[in-house]
Amino acid sequence: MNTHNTHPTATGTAACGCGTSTKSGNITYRPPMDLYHLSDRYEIHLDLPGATAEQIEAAVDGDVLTVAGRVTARYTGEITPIHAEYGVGDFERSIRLGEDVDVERLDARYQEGVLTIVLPKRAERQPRRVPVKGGSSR
Amino acid sequence: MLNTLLPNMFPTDLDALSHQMSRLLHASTPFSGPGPTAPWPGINIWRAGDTIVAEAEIPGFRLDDVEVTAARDTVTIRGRRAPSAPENAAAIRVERLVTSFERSFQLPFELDTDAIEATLTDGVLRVTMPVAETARPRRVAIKALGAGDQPRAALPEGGSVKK
Repeated sequence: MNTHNTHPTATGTAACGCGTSTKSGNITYRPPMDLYHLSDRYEIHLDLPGATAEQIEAAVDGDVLTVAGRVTARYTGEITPIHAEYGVGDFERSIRLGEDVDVERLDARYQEGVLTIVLPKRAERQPRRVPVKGGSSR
Repeated sequence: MLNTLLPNMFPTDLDALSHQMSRLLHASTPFSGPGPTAPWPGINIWRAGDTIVAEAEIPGFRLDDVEVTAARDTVTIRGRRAPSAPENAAAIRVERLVTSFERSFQLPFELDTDAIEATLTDGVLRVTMPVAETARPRRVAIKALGAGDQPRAALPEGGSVKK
C-alpha cells in the first residue's frame, strides 16, 4: 500500500506539518500518520487535534482514501498573543489504497484527537470461471 | 526539560508584539511545522483580560497520561503514553513518534496557583492561569511632602531630612 499525498494543493516533505493556503484563506495542514500492516487488516492513525468527530470526513474515491478535518478557530475574542509555536488550521491527507483493502468495511474512530481507520483486507477470493459469450452460429 | 522564558508581559510597543504574533498565529504563508529538533509539543500562550492561557496539542494522550503542575511562576506539563502500534503489526510508516514529553514555561509574574485550571479535549491541552491579585499593577497614591512632614521611612537616630 502506498502512502502518497495526491491532493494537488498539498506541499511539504514526508513528516513535516507544513501547511498550505486554500482559496478560503484557511491554512490546511498535512497531519502526521502511522500506518500498520496486520494479517487481516491495515490500520491508519492520524493526529487531528482540535477537530471533532462531526468535522472529520473520510472518503474513498477509486483507490484513494482522503481524510479531511475541519478545525474551528480557537483564538477568538480580545486576546493578546504572547508566544506562538504552532498554527491552527484544517487537516487533509490522502492515501492510495492497495487492491487488498475491502473498502466497503472501512471503520473510522476519533478519540483524544486521533483518528484511527481500520481497513480490513478482502476475504480470500475463490478463482471464478468467467463464462465466455459470443462465438459463431455455425 | 525545556524552559521557555517569555518576553516582558507588558511590552512598551504593544502593536509591534501583536503584529508579530499575529503573523505567527495567522500565517498566510506555509507555517513550517516542528522539525526533528523542535520541542514537542508546541506551546501557544496568550493573554485574555486578566487570564493567561497556554495551549498544547497532544493528540493520543489521555487524561491519565498527562500531568500539569504549577509553582510560583512556573508551569510544567508532562505526559507519557503507550505506543500506539497494534499487537503483531508491521509498521509501514511511523510519523507520530513522541510518546513522552515534559516542558515548562516561566511567566514574569507570580501565579495564583489555586486558581489554575487545565482541560484536555480532543487532544488539545489548555491551562488557564489567572494573574495573581498581588501581581496586577495597582495605582500607588503619591503624597506631597510638606515643610513639617517627616518621610515615612525610618531614619537612623539623630538623622534629619534635608529640605
